Amino acid sequence: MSNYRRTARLAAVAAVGALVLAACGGGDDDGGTGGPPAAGHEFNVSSTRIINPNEATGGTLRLGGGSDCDSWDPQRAYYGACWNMQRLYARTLVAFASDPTRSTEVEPDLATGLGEPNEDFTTFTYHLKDGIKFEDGTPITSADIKYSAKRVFATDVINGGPNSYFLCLLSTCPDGVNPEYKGPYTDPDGEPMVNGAPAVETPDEKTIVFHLSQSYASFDYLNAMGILSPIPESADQGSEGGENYTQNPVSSGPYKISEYDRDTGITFVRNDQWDQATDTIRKPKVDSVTIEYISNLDDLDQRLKAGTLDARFDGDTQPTFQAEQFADPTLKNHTDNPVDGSLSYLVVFPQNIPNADCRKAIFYGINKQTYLLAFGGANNGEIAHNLTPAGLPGYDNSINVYPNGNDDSGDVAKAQESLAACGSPDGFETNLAFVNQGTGPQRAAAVQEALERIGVTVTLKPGEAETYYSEYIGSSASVKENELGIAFAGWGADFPTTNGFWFAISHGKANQPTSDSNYPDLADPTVDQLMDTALTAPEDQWEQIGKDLDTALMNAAVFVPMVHGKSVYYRNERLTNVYSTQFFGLYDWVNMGVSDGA
Amino acid sequence: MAISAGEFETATELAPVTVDGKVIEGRSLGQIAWARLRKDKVAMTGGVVSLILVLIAIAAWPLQALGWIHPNESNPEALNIQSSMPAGAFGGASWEHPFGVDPQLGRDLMDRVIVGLQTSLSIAIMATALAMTLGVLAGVIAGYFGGWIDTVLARIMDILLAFPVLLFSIALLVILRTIGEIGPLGGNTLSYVALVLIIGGFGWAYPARIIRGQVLSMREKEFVESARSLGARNSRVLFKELLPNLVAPILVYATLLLPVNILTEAGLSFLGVGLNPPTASLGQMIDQASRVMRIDPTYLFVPGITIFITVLAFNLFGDGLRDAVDPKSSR
Repeated sequence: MSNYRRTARLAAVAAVGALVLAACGGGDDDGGTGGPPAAGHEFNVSSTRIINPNEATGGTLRLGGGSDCDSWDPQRAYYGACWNMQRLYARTLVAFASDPTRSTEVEPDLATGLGEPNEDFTTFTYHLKDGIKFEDGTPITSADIKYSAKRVFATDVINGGPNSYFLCLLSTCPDGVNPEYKGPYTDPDGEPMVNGAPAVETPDEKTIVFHLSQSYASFDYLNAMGILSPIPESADQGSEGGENYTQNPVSSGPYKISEYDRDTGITFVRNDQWDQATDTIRKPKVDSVTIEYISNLDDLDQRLKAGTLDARFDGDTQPTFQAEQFADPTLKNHTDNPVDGSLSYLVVFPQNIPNADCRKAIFYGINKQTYLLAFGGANNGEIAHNLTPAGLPGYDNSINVYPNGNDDSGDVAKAQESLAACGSPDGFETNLAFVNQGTGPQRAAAVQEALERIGVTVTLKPGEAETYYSEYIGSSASVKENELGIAFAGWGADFPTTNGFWFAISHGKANQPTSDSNYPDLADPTVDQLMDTALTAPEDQWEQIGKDLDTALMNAAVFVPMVHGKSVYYRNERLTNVYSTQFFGLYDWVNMGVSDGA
Repeated sequence: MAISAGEFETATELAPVTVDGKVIEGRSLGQIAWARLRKDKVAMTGGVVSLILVLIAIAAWPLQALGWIHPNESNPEALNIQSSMPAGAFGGASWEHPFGVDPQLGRDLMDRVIVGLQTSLSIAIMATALAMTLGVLAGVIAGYFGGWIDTVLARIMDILLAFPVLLFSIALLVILRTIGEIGPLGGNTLSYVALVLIIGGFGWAYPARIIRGQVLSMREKEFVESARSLGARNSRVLFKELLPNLVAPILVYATLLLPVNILTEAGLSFLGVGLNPPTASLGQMIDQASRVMRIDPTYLFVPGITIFITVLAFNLFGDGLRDAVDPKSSR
């Protein structure tokens, strides 16, 4: 599974610090009655206030995209942009708030309240609202959500999505990895079991109870993912269901798909069965939303600049247009440059560099300044000192366990001390893995040059983009065989908690021989224990646990924090009610309007 | 068509001719060609420029060893910290970096072009040498011996000419990169050897055809017949009688093949299957520059113009050389 998916997904968990600063200058909260300058388009304000608040309805929101979503089946998508689009057509028990300053928080959506846990956070109960319906008018019941939960287990068909969080949580896994239940396609009468009892209970049409195999305090965050949105069993049958459900997923939200072509685009129109009275998160304005796929991203940027497209739904603008956006004051007012919650880091493999002091020499000797430039400059990120990205518990970029010079360009003397301590005072030779695409070669050259200064000779070993994470650095055998000492990696959280970011890339339980994301094969008892504690700890302790975990990981000396990523977006002048949801990092399309009604 | 040895012998046997009391001396084939070439100003310009480029490429080794050029040294101070594009006009051109610097790393473009030229020229020259060696061998053998040997070799040439060389080269180079190491060869050395072998190994069919045609027309000539009737062995006929008469077409074709190979190497590097970064390569620079050409056109122009000048110079020189040694050839 590609990390870039996850990185792209969590495009902007905005910096908490930035929020506070902006809140000081932002002024009135309701925005609706404020003067036009404060309410209009300005540089980088979408994560702090609503731009152009306006209740007018009608018109078409015209979006562009570089390519189709990985899937429109809410259970099989993993791109953040696609999770964000699911807000149009897939409602969930709880969902992220539609307030730019609180959008990493979850609020009740289909449910009347957040999950009611038992004492040890192993059972969660939700009650459904009245009046919620699918696009064909049939009421949404607890059975539809239970069917979704069963469908997650059909991993041979329903793959590609974030199912790994659910498989051994909504089922007991005898071997720790594989659940016994294989999904409704092969076993229509069976269901996932936890300790011999059904994991999902539906005592009545309006109540659903989840029994988990372990304590999971932040279970609401898992329910905010579209993977547990209701899917009617009747629509998942025959040629329309299973693998083909992506063609026409049944809508529970204010929009439904009217036209879809993998190569050209997708059109959403209003779903007349959706009732505003049942929904406190969405206030749809436009009649339809279109996405046009344009594979030449520079052409897409030109369409944005000309105003024939309103925004891009799936990512940053390209370097050429970025340069214009920052140079031209008018374009700059329509630009957002949020911290996006992604971390670009170096994996230093203890498998091939077993001595921690040798690894620390790399931490001290690296030049983060040239790396950031090779990464695309300060518009695309800021130098990372700690590992945890902004917006997650434990973020504090002022903590620097391995300070490498005042300007982050490296501390050669410290590095040489570490080299002496590890018994190779003259340095050593090692291999660097990177994707031979985009900025990869430039970043590799920057690392090579920086480590040359401390006598560490780096040989570049490029990998192919498609297999880089799954087969090249994600396979323990490949790491050994290619004698990889360092590798580039990028990561973004699946949901905004400590485990949502760290579990897959550093927990001992997430370490598999192949295709895992725990590249250094880390199995550090302190690290694992902190993550397990975080699962059940009350919210006021999350921050401290996050910080302790960050420090524990730094002490393990396997991840070098390099850059906390920033995104560059463009929004058209005619857009109203513009704000970005910090968790998805992108604009909240579902509540956006257009001022000219066209 | 080359001047056959027969004509050459007749020409030297003429009695000295005098004009206004001066004796006009008989001149060798080489002298005649050189005289013609010298009068061709375009070809001479091309030749001089080619020579300078080759000298620059050779000089890249000592310049790098002496630390006068730093093709892989980044200069963060020459970049805009926000966008990581070169700071200042014309791609960050200054006295220190006359051709500017590249985006993201700020490496000096003049230094990189010099090293890139060395990479491109050395690969192209070695590939040309390989192609010509194989081509001459195959052409002479096929033309001289005829029969089934000719049939087999000619068919191989046909197959090679009809082969989708570019696609095959890309596939082969990607596979080699995945394998990573073959015997003592690994990394960039492997890529380097592979590029030479692939470009040269697929390029010998054209010269082989031309040489084969020449040999076919020559082997029935009187001087070959007389050599054979005097009891010369095949090897003597091949190397002492035929080969000297093939020097002109070999030289001409080699000069014309060289720029083609430079372009092939640049093309493969552009497509990402050339040498590994951070080794400077003109094709790779153009690939990177094409993504930012609207905001940093200098980055595209510097390697682009270098390739343009190199290819043009070698082509003009090659054309002139062909005209000089074979004025009867059609243009």
